[in-house]
Amino acid sequence: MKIGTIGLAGSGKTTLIGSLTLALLQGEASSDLALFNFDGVAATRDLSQHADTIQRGRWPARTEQSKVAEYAIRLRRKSTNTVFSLRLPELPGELLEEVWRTDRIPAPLTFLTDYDGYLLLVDATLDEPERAAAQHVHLLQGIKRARGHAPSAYAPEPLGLVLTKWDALPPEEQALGPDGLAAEHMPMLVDFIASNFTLRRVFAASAVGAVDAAGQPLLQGGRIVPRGIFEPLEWITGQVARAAPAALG
Amino acid sequence: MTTQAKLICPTCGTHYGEAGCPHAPSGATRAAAPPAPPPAALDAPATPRTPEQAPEGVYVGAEVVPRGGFKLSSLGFERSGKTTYLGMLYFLIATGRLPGYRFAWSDSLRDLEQLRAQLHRPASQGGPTFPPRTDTDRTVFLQLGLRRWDDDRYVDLYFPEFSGEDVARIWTDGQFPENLRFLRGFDGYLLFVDATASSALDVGRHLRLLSGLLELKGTLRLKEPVAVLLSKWDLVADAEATTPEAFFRQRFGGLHDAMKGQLETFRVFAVSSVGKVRTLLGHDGLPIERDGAVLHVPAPERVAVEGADDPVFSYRPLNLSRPVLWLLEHLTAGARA
Repeated sequence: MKIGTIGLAGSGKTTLIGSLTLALLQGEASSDLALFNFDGVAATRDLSQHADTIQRGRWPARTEQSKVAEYAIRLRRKSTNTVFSLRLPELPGELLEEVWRTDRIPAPLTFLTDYDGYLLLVDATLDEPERAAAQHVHLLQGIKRARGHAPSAYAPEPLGLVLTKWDALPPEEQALGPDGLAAEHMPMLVDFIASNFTLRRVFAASAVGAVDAAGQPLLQGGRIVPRGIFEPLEWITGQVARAAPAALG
Repeated sequence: MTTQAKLICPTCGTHYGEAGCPHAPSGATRAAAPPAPPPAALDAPATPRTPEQAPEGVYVGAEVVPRGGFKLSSLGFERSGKTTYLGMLYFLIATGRLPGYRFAWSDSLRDLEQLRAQLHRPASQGGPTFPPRTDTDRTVFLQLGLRRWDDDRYVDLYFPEFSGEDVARIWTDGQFPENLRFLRGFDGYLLFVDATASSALDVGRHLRLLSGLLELKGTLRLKEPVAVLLSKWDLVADAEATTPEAFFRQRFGGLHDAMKGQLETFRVFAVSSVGKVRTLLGHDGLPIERDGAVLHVPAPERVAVEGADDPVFSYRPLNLSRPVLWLLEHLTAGARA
């Protein structure tokens, strides 16, 4: 099963993957997903490194512009006791931003067009949400078109819109909830998703839970306490599994 | 023979460069006209799907022909307000405020974002301004896709920005150039008529455009609905004393008569894309003119927002969505029947 975590530079892709890894390594009990093992040395090394950085109350380094990797994690769904392989990409947002400028998905990223589902990560605290919405729409249009779907057709791949850095929002904006905030700040993106994807859902996530006065991940009781990081993954893997059981494995 | 020697200037009514005409058609200096741009690609090449096929990545720009819905197109000459209308319509759609429809697709997002940025330019950068006059070497197409809330029906809106050469070709030859002939297959049209430009030459140009459209469709009477947009209505001095229909009959009588005879269905709308405008004044206190026309800029209401440095601009457009919605309602009713 291939799930593409995509998002522009600064949307929190690496932090989310690192935080997920940390939670899996610590045996997060509240999720239906549990770690079975990592597939390959590179995945084990890189993901553990990201998790370790976050555990120390630091942000993982920004993904280098030249680095594109695909990590495979074997996960066990506790409720059904089934194991499946999840492939997550790590890629620099700058490469995705090239699509806006060139109408072209860069060669290193063409593998994204084969994925079974997508989690679009959007920084919930963006200053200019209108322009960002247009860029995200353009990116999704590009992926949809590259998959051969006509503009007037609905894409069957599930799409989760994940609003990251949720903890940094003021309380009145958090009170809107993820659907309300997305509709309020990015109506164009919400309308586009509703017009092009049959399986869709909006999530709020905070990969580190809170930040300290210096803007670094806050350790609470000696641990990072993320919020909402498993929910998108549980939903999208469930959708893919229902739509195409063959994707499991 | 060069293009310049052959074409008639639609503004002056003489051959380009003759009898005091200061204009030149776009692209006139080229030895040969450029190949026509793809009209959102009626004959799209196969899109590469794999890295092997596309070593430089996968092209995902406007190539695929949208299918499965109504297609509407704007028609109108330069300075008829098409670009400003489109910029404001895009803003309306992007903010989810077009009644009954939602945003679904656009192959022109970069261009539309530029229009939006100009119409909403912060006060600290000079405030809102109209999009610069379109003066393209090639006719380009701006596109918006919508989906109806009720039944998810898909609709494509096309807004061609005609090049000076293509406009001159319609005026001179009376025919749509080859690269615009795809407009033949469209389901409805938005005809932009500048309400402040009603000279005999202006009326004649619109008549020529109408005749060209009928020739293109191969008919003497057009079945497809046409929404006539009287743009810049806010600049019409006696706007409050008359109705758009009466104004159109009075100032564009010949065009109105021609439409009565040649169009099965049309309706006139008074349109002001941005609402109030203000005249730009020079240091001498006199209006600034460019190309013989007084310069205006949008004058939206400024609304102070708590905690924000710049005010937010609140536009009060007139009939921005009604022409499009009228066309869509008309087409939908026809499809049901």
